Amino acid sequence: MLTRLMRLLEEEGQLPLNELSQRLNAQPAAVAGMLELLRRKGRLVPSESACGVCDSCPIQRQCKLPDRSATRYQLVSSSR
Amino acid sequence: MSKFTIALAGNPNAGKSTIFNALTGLRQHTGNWPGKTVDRKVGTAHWNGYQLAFVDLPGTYSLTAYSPDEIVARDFLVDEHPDAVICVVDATNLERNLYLVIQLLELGVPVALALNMSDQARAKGLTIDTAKLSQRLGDIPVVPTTASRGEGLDQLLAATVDFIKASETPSCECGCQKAQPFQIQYADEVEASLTALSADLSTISTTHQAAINGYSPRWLALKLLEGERDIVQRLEATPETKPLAQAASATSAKLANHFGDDVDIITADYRYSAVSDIARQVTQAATARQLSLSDRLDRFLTNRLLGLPIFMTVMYLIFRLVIDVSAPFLDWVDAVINGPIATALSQLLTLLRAPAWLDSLVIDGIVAGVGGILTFVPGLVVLFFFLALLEDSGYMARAAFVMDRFMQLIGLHGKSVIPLMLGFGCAVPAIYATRTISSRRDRLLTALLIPFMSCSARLPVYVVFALAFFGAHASTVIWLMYVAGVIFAVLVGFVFSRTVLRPEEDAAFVLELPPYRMPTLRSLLLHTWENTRGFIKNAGTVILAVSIVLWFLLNLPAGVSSQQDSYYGRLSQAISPALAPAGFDGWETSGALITGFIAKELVVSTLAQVYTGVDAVEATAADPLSQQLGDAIIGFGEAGLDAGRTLLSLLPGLNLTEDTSPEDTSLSQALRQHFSPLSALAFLVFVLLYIPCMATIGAIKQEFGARWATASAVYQTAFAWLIAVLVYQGGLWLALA
Repeated sequence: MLTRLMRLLEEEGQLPLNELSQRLNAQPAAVAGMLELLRRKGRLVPSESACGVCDSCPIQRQCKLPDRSATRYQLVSSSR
Repeated sequence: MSKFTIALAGNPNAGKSTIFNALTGLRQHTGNWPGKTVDRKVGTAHWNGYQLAFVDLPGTYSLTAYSPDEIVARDFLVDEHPDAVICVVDATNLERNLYLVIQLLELGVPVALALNMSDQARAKGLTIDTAKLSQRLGDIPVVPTTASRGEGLDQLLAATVDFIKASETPSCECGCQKAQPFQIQYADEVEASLTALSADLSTISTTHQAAINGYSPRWLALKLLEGERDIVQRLEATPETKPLAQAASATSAKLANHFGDDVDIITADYRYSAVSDIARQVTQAATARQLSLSDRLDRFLTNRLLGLPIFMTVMYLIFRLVIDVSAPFLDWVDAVINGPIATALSQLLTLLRAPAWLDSLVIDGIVAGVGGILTFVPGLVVLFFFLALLEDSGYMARAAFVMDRFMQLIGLHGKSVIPLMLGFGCAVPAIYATRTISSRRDRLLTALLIPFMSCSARLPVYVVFALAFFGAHASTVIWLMYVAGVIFAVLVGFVFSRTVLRPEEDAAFVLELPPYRMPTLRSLLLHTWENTRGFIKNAGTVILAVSIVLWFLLNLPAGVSSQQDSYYGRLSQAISPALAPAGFDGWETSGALITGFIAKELVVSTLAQVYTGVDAVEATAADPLSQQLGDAIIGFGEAGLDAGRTLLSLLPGLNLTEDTSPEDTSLSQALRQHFSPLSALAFLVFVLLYIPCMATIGAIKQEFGARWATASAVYQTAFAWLIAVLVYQGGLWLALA
């Protein structure tokens, strides 16, 4: 499942979670669990943490960015 | 009396704490796990002559050692040897929850399953075959529960206690075979390594048993191959077990080379496949595939072919509403500012015997400048309301996704979409939002394209020109300006990504779209007010200050007879020849474009000040103030009725609007004397594309340095000039043709 998930992402470039779960024939919550595992492994990077410079951002207090966007994970290619 | 210790494990939000509270009542206390800041909840219960101690483990999704919660749960299960673990599973999310269950089973602890939220699963049309689930998991007890109503808890305790007693019995009295414990069959190469490593681990002498802490050899071997740091460190700590850890590490590296991926990814892959198989075998949905409303909407709204046209249609409808619903109020605000407000201020100044220049500064400068921009507040209120509606309903995230695909076609990063969408509100936060993009090249390209998105400050310029020149087609023209901004961004992005900013390697994405929500009116009004307040605040500070400065520039040197001869007129005239090929070479227009660099709203307020300042003073003298106030009140009611009729006319088959154009504002009339429809269109394109406002340039300088800020200002103005000239000259050529 995990390798299929990563292969799908590499092939499609980008997919919403619901479509991904349909393609994997798995519950969205289960796919979210797989994404979480890949995030922990460093294979996926959530876009918010990719920013990492919020503390120095002049609009930090007014920023609604996390509210506005969908949770977005970027696939990091394997070191192998 | 027999005493049993039972641990409660489960995913967060599976109802574990509800079951714990229901079973223990008030007989519980909370402390911390030794050396951790994780809550440890312990409680007791007496049931059918048994004394039961319950330990509520932290909610976790797995038993890997990534978080303190997971280590606490795992160490407790191994160190404290509870008699059983009740794993609380959310029956509506069986597939996700089963991952933890099979990790518990792999750990070798006795597990009973509480299939919680069974009522919700039934309501969703899900039927779970508990007997089959039990059999697939190695004949463990599986009991449906609804903890919130206390249902099934007695049966759960009975099954768990029976299970504990049965596991304490060496063999069954009836002579039947005990069930085989659950075990995942990994790939042959992994299984061979597990067997060899387990055999080595079994030989560890009792003096070094502390290193392996009571874990089963197979489980330890698995964790060593997966390279789990906590376990590797335990074995590396003693000389006898250190060689085993080193050997496991070498084997793990070989397996990783063989499979082309880390061993823990390969084993997790097998677990997820096993979980998926089991979930499919034991679950029956009322229909073949249960799609939520959100899923069904997404199939349509994020469709590869339909998504973009739907988004464009939604935006078009919003601009129709902005124009049609707010137009009656635009006229009303204009009439109030140039009527009772200007009259009242003029009369007050006369009463105070203010000098003529002060009267002119207030009426021609401040009222015309600030009032000119406040006229467009109703339009912005409607725009902000509908944008908040799209955002709160969850559609904006879909729109970003739809545009995401589109952006990647032109070499833009997928993550560029959100900053670009923010650019429709204000370019300054949008520039800072590029920080979410990790690649500097992608950040820079996105920042250079953000000013092409029509920010809310440009809307008043579009509205005043569209209403003055394009009548019934005003909303279409405004929508086209927004679309043109996106198209120009695409073109420029395409050129940049193939010249000065070549793309790096593409990255794949997965997006977890939030579910659709029904927005609350309170939240929508709050968002609308926050954004409108920002606009009004700007009008009361920056625009007020610039209006005052502009008035002085228009009236200096002292005694100047014509505005054209003023400092402002002279500066503007110096620029105007350059704009002649674009069809708007009037010095007034050039001047408005200069102040537009300070803030885009100032284009309208400057034009209002230059074109209509004197008219406003004359208008104030026309009617008595009391009559103007009465007219204003009646006018508001009429505007409300007109807007209401327009809204109702959006319903199919209902047409309550009269086919009349909105009343002309004094600025609209003045503009028609100085622009043709073609030069007005060229002017709009120029305003869309030319140098971003001062604050945006400042943000680009802060994020990317002065060189790129200068480049942005220069290339955008040059590009704006080129396109405006093409529009105007092309239009003339077509007209002649």
